Amino acid sequence: MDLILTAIWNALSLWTLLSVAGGVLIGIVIGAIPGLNAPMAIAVAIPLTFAMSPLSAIGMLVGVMKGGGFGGAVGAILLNTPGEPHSAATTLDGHPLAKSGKPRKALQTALYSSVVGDSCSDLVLILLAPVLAIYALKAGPVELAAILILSLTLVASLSGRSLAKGIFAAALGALLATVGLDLETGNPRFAFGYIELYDGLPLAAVAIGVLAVPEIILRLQDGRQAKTARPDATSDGEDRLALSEFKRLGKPIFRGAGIGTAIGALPGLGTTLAAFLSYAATQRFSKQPEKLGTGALEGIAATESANSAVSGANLIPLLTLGIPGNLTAALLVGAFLIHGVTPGPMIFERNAELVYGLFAAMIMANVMVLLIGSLGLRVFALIVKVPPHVVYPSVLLLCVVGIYVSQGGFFAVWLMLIFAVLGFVMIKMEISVVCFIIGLVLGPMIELSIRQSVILLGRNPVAIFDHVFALCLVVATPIVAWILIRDRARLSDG
Amino acid sequence: MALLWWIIPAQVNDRGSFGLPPSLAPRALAWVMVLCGTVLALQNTRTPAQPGTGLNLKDIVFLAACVTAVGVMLMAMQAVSGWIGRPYAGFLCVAPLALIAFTALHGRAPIWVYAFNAVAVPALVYVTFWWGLRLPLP
Repeated sequence: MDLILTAIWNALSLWTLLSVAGGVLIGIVIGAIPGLNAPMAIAVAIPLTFAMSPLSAIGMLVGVMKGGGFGGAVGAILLNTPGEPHSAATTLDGHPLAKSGKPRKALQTALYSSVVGDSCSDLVLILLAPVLAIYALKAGPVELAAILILSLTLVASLSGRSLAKGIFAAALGALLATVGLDLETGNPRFAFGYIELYDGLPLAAVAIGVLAVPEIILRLQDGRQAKTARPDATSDGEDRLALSEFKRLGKPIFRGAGIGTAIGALPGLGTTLAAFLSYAATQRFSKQPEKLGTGALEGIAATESANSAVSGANLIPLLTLGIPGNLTAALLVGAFLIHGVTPGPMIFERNAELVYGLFAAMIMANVMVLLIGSLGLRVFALIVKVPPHVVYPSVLLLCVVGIYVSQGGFFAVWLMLIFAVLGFVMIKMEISVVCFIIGLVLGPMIELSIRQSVILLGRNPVAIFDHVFALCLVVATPIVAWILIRDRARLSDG
Repeated sequence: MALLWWIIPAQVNDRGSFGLPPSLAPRALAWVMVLCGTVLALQNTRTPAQPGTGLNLKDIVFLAACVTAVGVMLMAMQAVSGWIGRPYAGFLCVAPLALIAFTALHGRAPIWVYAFNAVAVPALVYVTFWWGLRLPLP
């Protein structure tokens, strides 16, 4: 109990609160800019956290993640340009409502639903994660290897259009994760004579290179061809969300929070699925389903609560097993590792103070999103008007500077540039960058647990029959992948 | 294939291993990539890619222009401090020119945007990192 109180006290320190507030602000601002999104905001913010304490750093990045979620809704509602696929569901009702003279009401609905959905999933995380971690600690290397392979297969099956491309990307990520000194022999692998590569590829450089820089290059390229979207919504005066209206949104908000939490807890199933499932469920149970799609508050509430609920629940597999469920969680793993903390069940024993501090910081981040979001609605509406000619060149420079200061030299910046080329090609070839990053993060864990399993099983594959749970997972992996691919093929045909 | 027959044998040393050899994971992953690549190649022969998708010459030229701009900026930042004999001057001297180049790559922009990007943005970044975060820039 003392530990929990100390952790909460640390999370409430001025420096941590400022870090969380700064993160929320960065997240909202970057998320609101068309073309930029929450994972990019996290990738760009990681270098800023190098000088911070682990709690302040992770708190700041959690703030970016939560702020970015709401920021995405700003662009989706005012410009009809979703920064992320899940925000596309918000545009269905958000933009028509904004166009009808009620942009403030649409943004307020998105903000409050987002905060409620996020808080619900954070509560589930806080209650479930410590309990699940106790069970996870009972899993040995064989079981862990089976869980990791199943998770990676799930992610590969569900990301992008093609399973082969998903597995290719995950394998490439895992292959690049082998760069550096081998854990067993201490021999360098793929170092090409560079001593800088002995510690492995710097995750911040790879993440920014693959995620942020190619997106900026694509936006720079688009800027030569297309005109920038401009807000086409003006307030009609009666533009505030009344308490009675918000109370009526209770059902879609809590339904969305439930759907988002359930989906977020499973690796690979992302915010987009949660947002659209919640929207479909609201349409199914609505008394006036014909109003959805024309600017109904229910539609905005359902999608925003669901996609925000995913973010908290995503940390359940991350903290209990060390498995990142999506891109944002994968970037958070990178941040944890940079600050010397290894996510997984042991985190509750080795870094309990940090974990409980993180839980407190997450709650604080929700409060900050509510406060900053409410106070800054008018300002955030202006952000979408900033010319892209200013935004993208500046963000590109920020990526270079961020990697330079975080890695202390130009080597990592050159690496970032190489990975930017790879990321650009991957995006153009429709190869999932998400699978690549998750493969990169999970690669060392999978390799280590497989090596330990082989030694534990005495190099005898039949010995896996002594590990029934692992055996079930190994058998389930191809079956689950096949079912998911078949269902997706049916959906796309339908 | 180059990975399997050339890069892995040259870059991964298996001496001293008592469990699984260090090259096993890279080799296994390389084979997975070869397998997936073959599946994708077969899929492409059956259903050719739709026009307008994938990487085209225009994309490659634009990517090369952007990479060149960033690459020249990095080399200039590394070299400038030495040329003028002042440490940490690379960013201040090169960033304004690099931002003008990035803005030009984005297409036609009003002159005030060039001026803003060349003066205000580097100044803001400089102040934030040097004075705010106390982190030295190149």
